[in-house]
This record gives sequence, structure tokens and C-alpha cells, in this order.
Amino acid sequence: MRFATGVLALACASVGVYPALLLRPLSLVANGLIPYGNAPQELSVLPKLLPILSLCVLGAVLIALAIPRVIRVTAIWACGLPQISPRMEYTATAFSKPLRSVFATVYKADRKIEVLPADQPYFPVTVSYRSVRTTSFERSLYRPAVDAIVAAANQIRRLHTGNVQMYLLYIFLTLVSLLVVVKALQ
Amino acid sequence: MTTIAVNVLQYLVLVLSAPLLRALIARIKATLQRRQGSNLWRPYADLLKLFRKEDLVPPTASPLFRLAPTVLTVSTLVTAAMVPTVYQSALLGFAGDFIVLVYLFALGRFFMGLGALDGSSFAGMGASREAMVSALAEAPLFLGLVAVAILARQGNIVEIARWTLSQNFFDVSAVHAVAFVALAIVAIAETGRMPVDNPTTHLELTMIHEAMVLEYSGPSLALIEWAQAIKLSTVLSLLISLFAPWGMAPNLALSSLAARGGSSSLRREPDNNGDAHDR
Repeated sequence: MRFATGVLALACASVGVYPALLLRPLSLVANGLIPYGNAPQELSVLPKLLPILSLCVLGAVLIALAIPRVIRVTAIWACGLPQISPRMEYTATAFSKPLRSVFATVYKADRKIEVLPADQPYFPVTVSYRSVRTTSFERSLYRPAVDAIVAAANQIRRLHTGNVQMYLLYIFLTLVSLLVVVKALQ
Repeated sequence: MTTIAVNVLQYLVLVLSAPLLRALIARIKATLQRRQGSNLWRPYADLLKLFRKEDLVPPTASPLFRLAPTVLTVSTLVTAAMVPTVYQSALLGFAGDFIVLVYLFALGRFFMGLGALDGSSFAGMGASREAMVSALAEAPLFLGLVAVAILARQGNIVEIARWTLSQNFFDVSAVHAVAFVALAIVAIAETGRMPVDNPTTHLELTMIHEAMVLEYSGPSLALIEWAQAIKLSTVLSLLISLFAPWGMAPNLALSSLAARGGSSSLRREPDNNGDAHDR
């Protein structure tokens, strides 16, 4: 499992450090599609850039590693509790909380916290937290449109009775109405 | 050859004088509050003291925890090489360098956030707040830089500075004014100063950057502090070189370089004054 993500991460890093690998073939394709297109000028800078940047990074890493360090592993403050435990770890949900607060008007969160048993709020046995977020666009634009189409489709479905005689009747009615229209247009 | 020497010199001045700038801001703040303030060389003494101390590492920390300050320092050192200060050239200048600058800041921050998650919950809280601030500040920072780059039709910080230098002072376009206001606000957020963050706060609940680096000590903390100071200097120098490079040495004569040095230090003071005034 790590191999797949590792390959992607490595590809990201290598393309990020030396994008000319990918940009050259891409610009060739773009040249074929866009009339009067030519390769971006930045491409010629990239080969010059790589040695400078890697030299800087290498030198700086050496400087940073040259600083002598005495390392001591020691317990950290556990916010007043006896010791730090995995349950106190910062989760992805907690990490994204500030951003969710900022965008609360866009993503109107549907939150629900359940503390059981309900009569003992200070000594909970189980706490469950549920939060569903949909964008305002989905709520106020896509959802009504989809609902309207589904409602219309439900109405139209009444015509599909599965009876062959009914379908023959539809064909006959369509034919008659078409003939009437053609006659009227003439 | 001389250009390279001057570039190296101005880079070293920027990197080594960064703690002094911080001390200067603290001094101005103290003066505004009618306090005596601490010695101007105190940040250097603090850094020396921290470099001599041992590094305390939490038992829950992964190698990332120790790697993060190094990555932050390295990325900040590289960004400092991209901005011109006294002479209108930089050690590391290339087309599109301001894009690299923005994302090197982001890289350091990203690693600091990862390192913070190895520590206590407070560090995680600080990291999540820092991630929020940088996510909100990155777009305007980028937009402001691109706006100025488009105006100058240059993709290079040094070239933009040169272009601005060749313009008439009273010919400032609206783009410049708006981009400067936006970038000034972003600079406050980027460098973690009031009112976005308070670098001198003592209460964990109100911290952003300070909470994120809560578990660091010794040389790691010294690297972080130094990198923060360099970042402040770099961002201020970037603002000056993009919007007010007048006074930057036009040639390599010693007199014009000295004049630029003087005017640069004079120009920085109002900047800091405004910053200190915010508190």
C-alpha cells in the first residue's frame, strides 16, 4: 500500500524539482493544438535553476546539520493529565476546525453531539459526534434541480405501464397528432 | 565578480541582521509604551544561549519533529537570497522567482505543522491555526505579487524592482496602491505579528505560531527563532523592493551603497513604527 503512494510522492517531488521533464512533452502537444503556440520562455530558465537551487539547499542543510545538538527524550506537558495518551492526539477533524469555522457560512455544517447517558452530562459513558457538510451550491442549486428532474421523471413513469396495447395506442395517437400538425402546417 | 560579492554581502547582511530588526521592533514598541526596553543585542544572546542548550524531544516524536526546524531554516535562507536590499540584484534571481518564494514559505510552514503534530495537543492546535492563516493569506499574497509582476511585465523580483525604480514616483497606478495594501496585510499575517498573531503572548489559548513551536527547545528553537526573524526581514525587504525601491544603489560605487544602506534603515523604521503602533 505504501509503495503506490510512495511512487506518487516521488513523482510529485521529481516533477516539482525538475518540471522540464513533463513540461517539454506537454508544450509539444500544446503546440500541435494551439495555432502560433510556442514553448513558454520559463522552460529555458529551468535547467539553470536546478543546480543553483540544489546547491543552496545542500549548503543550507549542511549548515543546519553542523550545529551540534545534544538530544534528550523527555516527557511533555500533558495539559494537566497524568500522561499523554493517543486519545489526546490532534485528529484531522480537529485540525480542520479553524478552516471550517471560517467557511461556516459557505459550508453550513449539520452537527450533532450525543452524550450518553443523557441525565449525567458531566460523567458521559459515550460521546458521539456527527457532522455532515454540503456546499451551499449543492444545497441551493444542484439539489433542487435534481429533485425537480426526479419528480418530473416520476410523473412520466406513469405512462410506462408495461402493457403492449397501451404502447400501440401511444404510437397510434402520435401518428394521428403528427398528421394533424402536418395538415395544419400545409 | 563584484556583483556576486555585493550579492553575497547583502545576503549576509539580511540574514545576520534579522534578529537585530526584531530587537529594533521590540525597542520601538517599548518606547511607545514608555518602557525602557531590552538591549538591542539581546536576540543574539538568546540565540547563542539556545544553541548551547540541549534539545528536549518528546517521547512521541518522529524524525519529522527534528527535521522540521532544519527545513524551515533552509527554505527561509533560500527565500532571503531572492530579494534585493541594497543593490538592485539578488543572489538567486530567475524568471518566476516570486512563485518559488511563496511556496518556500509554505514548505517551511508545512513541515513545522507536521512537526507540531508530534507534540502535545496545544502544538496541534497551533499548527491547525497556522494552517488556516496561511491558507487564507496565500491567495492574496500570490495575487498581489502577480498583479505587480503583470504591471511591470517582469517575472523576476529584481527586474520588478528595477522597473519600479525607473518609474516616476507620482505616476503610481491604482494597481500598485491596492496591491501594496493587500501585501501589507498579508505580510502581517505571514510574519505572525499583531493583530493576526502576537509573538510575545504568554497564553497558549491565544497563540498561533508560538503554540505550534511549543515543544521545541534548544538549538531547534534557536533555528526556528532565527528563521522567523529572517522571514520578517525578507518579507519587509520584498515589500520595499517591490513598492518603494527608490534609494537602491544604481551602481556599485561605495558611496551610493552606503547611502542606500542609510536610507534603507531609515525607511524600515516607519514600517516598524506602524507595526508596533498596531499593538
